[in-house]
Amino acid sequence: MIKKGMVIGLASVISLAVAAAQGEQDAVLTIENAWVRALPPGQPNTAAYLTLVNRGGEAVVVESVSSDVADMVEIHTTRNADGLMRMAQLPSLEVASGQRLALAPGGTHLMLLGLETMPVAGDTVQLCLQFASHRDVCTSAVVRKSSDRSDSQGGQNHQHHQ
Amino acid sequence: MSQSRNIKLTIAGVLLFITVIVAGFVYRISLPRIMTASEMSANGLYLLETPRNIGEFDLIDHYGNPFNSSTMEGQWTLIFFGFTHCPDICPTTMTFLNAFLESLEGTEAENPQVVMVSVDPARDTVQQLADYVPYFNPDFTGVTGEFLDIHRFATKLNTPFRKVTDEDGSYQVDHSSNIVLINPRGDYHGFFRAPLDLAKMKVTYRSARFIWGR
Ligand SMILES: [Cu+2]
Repeated sequence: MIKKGMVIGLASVISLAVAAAQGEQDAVLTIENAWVRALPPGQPNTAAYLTLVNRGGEAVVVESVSSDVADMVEIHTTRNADGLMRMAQLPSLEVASGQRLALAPGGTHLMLLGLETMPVAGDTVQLCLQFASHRDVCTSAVVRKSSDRSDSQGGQNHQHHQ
Repeated sequence: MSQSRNIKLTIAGVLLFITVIVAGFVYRISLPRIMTASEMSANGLYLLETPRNIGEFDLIDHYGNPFNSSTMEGQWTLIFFGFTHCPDICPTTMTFLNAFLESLEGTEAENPQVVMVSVDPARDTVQQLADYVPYFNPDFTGVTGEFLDIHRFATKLNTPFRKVTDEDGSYQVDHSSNIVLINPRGDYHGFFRAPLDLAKMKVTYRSARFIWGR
């Protein structure tokens, strides 16, 4: 009897801890695999990537992004125009109902501008997404030198908007 | 006595024979497949029908040493045209090239040289490249120079780039993310078309080297 109570107590502590670890995420909008690219020290800017999952019934629009390590965060996409790569700023980012939107190297990314110091691999960086009609969603992004998949140059979900 | 010795010898002989056959088979399937030129182009490596002499050029590497036609002789060279103020595609490509080098085995791994030529020489000084390029791999070489010299060099290698000024006066450089392949004679040999794929690049690079060395 006492044992059972302890098990239940332990289980609820664990589930609370898991919920806390998942942080500010909610059931409708979740951020997965957030990471920031570590670049040589002294570089003023770097890129961040993540997957945004919208399980809600309506589309959401990311209107702005902020980070604790950068003066400004912009939404960018790398486009291929006549064989030349060009970065362009996007005003916002729409995630349709049920969509998994993956930002990945060589495609859409978050640009961290005006870094005070370049984060190093192993650090974590706070990223917060502000939406048109949803509360902010924040995540801790890990800092890495490269994506897990370093065997391709463009992201898997890389789309060329031509 | 001598009969059982004969049997032992026969068994040993048969075992040796089987071992040789199996070893040969394993060696054969472990050998890289060599692609034809059209297979290579289908897998992203476009070879020039006749490798082209680039002529004279005069650039500078991130150690402050001259980078010219003789620097590229005696080894295979992979050239990427990029710049340090390029936080998405350039580091992605540099990291990819590092993974590519690490994945090479045997003779292929012996001597490819990886060079990033800056398409933004105004900002990419020798010092800036020295702080940037070795971060991705200590053996990589950064190259800069006069804008017109770099432009001429890139044009000869079919890798155009374009400086684009934004309304606020800042600029970025549109550039190709193909990788140029230079053979050990220092001639323009072909290019790997972006988006790059590690497995394809490995087998096409190996094939190009094999055919060239024949
Ligand atoms: Cu960007």
